[in-house]
Amino acid sequence: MTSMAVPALAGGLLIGLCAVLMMAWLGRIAGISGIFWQAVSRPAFSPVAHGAFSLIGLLTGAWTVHRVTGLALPVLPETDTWQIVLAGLLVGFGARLGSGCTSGHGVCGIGRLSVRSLVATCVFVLAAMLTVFVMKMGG
Amino acid sequence: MSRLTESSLALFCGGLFGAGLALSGMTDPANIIGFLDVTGAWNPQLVFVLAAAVGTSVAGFSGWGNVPDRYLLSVSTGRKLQELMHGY
Repeated sequence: MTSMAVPALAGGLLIGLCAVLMMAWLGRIAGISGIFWQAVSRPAFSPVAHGAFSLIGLLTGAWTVHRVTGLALPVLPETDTWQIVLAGLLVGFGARLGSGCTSGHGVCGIGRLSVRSLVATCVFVLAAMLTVFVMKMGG
Repeated sequence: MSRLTESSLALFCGGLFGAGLALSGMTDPANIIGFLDVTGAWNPQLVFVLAAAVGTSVAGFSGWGNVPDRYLLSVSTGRKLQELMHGY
């Protein structure tokens, strides 16, 4: 229990720090779906290209920790490719429709005590729990 | 703030987020599914991650009526945090 709680808390601290610093330094919400949207909807050479740089940092930071700690890189689950593509599309569509994902609503929104973000977070976590339950039932 | 500075800060902040995800085990989809699988072998790891992240952001955002102008880009200068975070 403790062995997984300590890195989990430390990792969460870094994520929270990212949310605060991104707002303080860049005036941006550290919401990954929003950042990704910004990165793909604006060319990288436009005056505002934080999105692309944040994503490169995100991948580099995660990769570095895996390298340094020797933590194995996760393998793709044995799921049909079309299911992964469909799931990704649904997540992306839902995150845009709901104005945010776990990082935007869950960390930044709840961080500034937004009721709307709290509701959004509860709704998508419950919906995801239900989805896992239904998928387990289905096979 | 120069574009180089902005880009470097964005890179650094993204790096913090990615390092946090990997360190906390959240780059492994099995840990997320384990958290969502409430009728199975429930894995509470994500609760610790979210608690620490929200705790940090609550502490960091508290008392920010206005984001200090000196830190901000022209697009957001002088706007209140509430306004910047519209929708969140």
